[in-house]
Amino acid sequence: MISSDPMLSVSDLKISFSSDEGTIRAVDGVDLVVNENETVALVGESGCGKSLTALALARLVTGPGLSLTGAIRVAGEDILAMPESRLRAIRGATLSYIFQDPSSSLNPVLRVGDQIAEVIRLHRKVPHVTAEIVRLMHLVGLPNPESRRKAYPHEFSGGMQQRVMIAMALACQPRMLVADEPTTALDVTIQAQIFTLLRELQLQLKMAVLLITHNLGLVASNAARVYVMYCGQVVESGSVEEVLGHAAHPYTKGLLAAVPRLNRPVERMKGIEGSVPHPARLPAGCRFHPRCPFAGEVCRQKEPVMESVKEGHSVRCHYWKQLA
Amino acid sequence: MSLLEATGVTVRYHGHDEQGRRQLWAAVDGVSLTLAQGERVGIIGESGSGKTTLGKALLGIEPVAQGTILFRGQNVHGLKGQALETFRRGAQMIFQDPMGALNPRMTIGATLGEVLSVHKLATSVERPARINELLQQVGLDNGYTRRYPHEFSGGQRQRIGIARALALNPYLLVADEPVSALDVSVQAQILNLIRDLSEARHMAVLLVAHDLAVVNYVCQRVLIMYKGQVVEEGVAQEVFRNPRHPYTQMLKSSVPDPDDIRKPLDIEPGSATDPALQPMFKHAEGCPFAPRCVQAKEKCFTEKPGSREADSGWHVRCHFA
Repeated sequence: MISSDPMLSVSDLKISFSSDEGTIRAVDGVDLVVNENETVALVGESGCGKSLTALALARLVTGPGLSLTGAIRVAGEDILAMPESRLRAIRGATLSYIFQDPSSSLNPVLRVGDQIAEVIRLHRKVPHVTAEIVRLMHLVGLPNPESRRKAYPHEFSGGMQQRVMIAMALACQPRMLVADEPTTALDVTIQAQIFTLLRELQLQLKMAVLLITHNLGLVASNAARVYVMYCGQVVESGSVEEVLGHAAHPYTKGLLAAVPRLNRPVERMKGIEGSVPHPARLPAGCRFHPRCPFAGEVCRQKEPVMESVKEGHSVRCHYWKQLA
Repeated sequence: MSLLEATGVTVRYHGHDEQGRRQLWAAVDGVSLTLAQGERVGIIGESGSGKTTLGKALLGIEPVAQGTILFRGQNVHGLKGQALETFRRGAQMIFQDPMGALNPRMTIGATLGEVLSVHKLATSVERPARINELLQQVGLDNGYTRRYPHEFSGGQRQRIGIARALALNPYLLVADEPVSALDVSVQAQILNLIRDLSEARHMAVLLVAHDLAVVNYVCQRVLIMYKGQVVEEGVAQEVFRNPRHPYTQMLKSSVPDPDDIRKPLDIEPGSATDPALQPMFKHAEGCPFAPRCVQAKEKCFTEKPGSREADSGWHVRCHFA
């Protein structure tokens, strides 16, 4: 692999399912790039397709009438074309995941040390597995790893369980880490610790990190670039400074206006009218138009395409120039 | 007279200590709180801080081991019959998960109608009009009465929960994490609704939340809880602008702000200062926050701090704040 290639590239990813109400286009033409040593955020509300996009990276999507097209390359390898055996070798080694709810991702009847050991035994040849478990538990800040490796998941708090998940995810020094709402179930102080830890580990391992979240504050403090998704499409992308500082899409603007801040005077928040449409009944034209305060006739009829606002900042909106 | 006056409220649960012995521990430990008519007060704390238990105790749902709770001058615990019903009409609650709080087999009209008929607030003839009025007040189309909870979005369900509470014209609404299960774009709508209704009806609100910014937006006053105790209390905007207790300071610095681009969170790395690591029976001596406190000195491990007034109406439970 040439080093200038991105660690992850997704192009024109489309994921659809069949349902009683017709075809559900859950992800509809997503393009995405994450470089080595870079943290990129994928932001959106429930049902926007951000988690499905993340799962597709390791071909983990299943469902009725699944259709998955496009191209996904991780560390130069074509994920959608590779055989199952190669995929198994990559999952957990080159590409690993941290999910939202650690208590449902850990096996409740296995000691945490044994669960970490499983990853190591599957992918690496290490003579002293126990020593490696202790090293990993120490790395993620789990106290007393020599004795705590024999504990069961229920003996840990949520924050400690998430550290176990991170130890498992990092056991094979992945080049690409997908963190899907890794701290949504945790308290803010623990969240801050987990992100501090992830940032330190990224520096050591030069990992590419794809952070899936709905929390714009976490995007601001952790990511270099961001993709904003709505109804299966990327509606805005660019550097965090550009997208959060000079949002061009009415949806991004709406999200930013809907987050209460501690450091600002308490003025009335606007929020966004209405709610996310059902994925089988997407509106014609721009998918955001029924909720958009600036929508005009063209928005009801013609679907907008991604346009460049400036170098590295793109937006999917007919009116972005007028709104700037 | 205040609407609600709670003094030294303590709720105890059975638990097991490190040796496996059964012991009582205080989930809520001597909390005092007053709420004026129409006032909005927030309770902030992490999981296990006792904030939800306190909310329930104030509504008489959770038995209280010590302390008194007066609602409109009447002691809440020990109420019976007519007096209990009157109290329940006056103090209502909405919950985090609006789906779990609604009966999936009842239409929205039936859910709201039941409240009105149980409390004999409307005759069967008056009911439909009253239900429509309630739905309208929470911003829902009145054609929705024949629909079931699953046909609504999360935000709409929370509105239904609020409508059900409003049906009884309460003096007090206890809202336990009312927006943490909702999408960002919908959260603002619900917070605005709670604020507007409180102002229009002069209804007091006790907002239990973990999100500092949410409380800052909705409430006039705030209580910060740690391990069952109130560690700081004051005017919300002042407390959040310039927190005095090290715990409140730590909470504030942990909140990521969308405006602070590429400013890493201000937290000590690596160190596992997880509250769950500290056994709940061990803080018999000293300040319960001392093991996590960066400013802790010797005194903090040997002597329990009392709550003192640092400024007018601003109370802090710390030796050094």
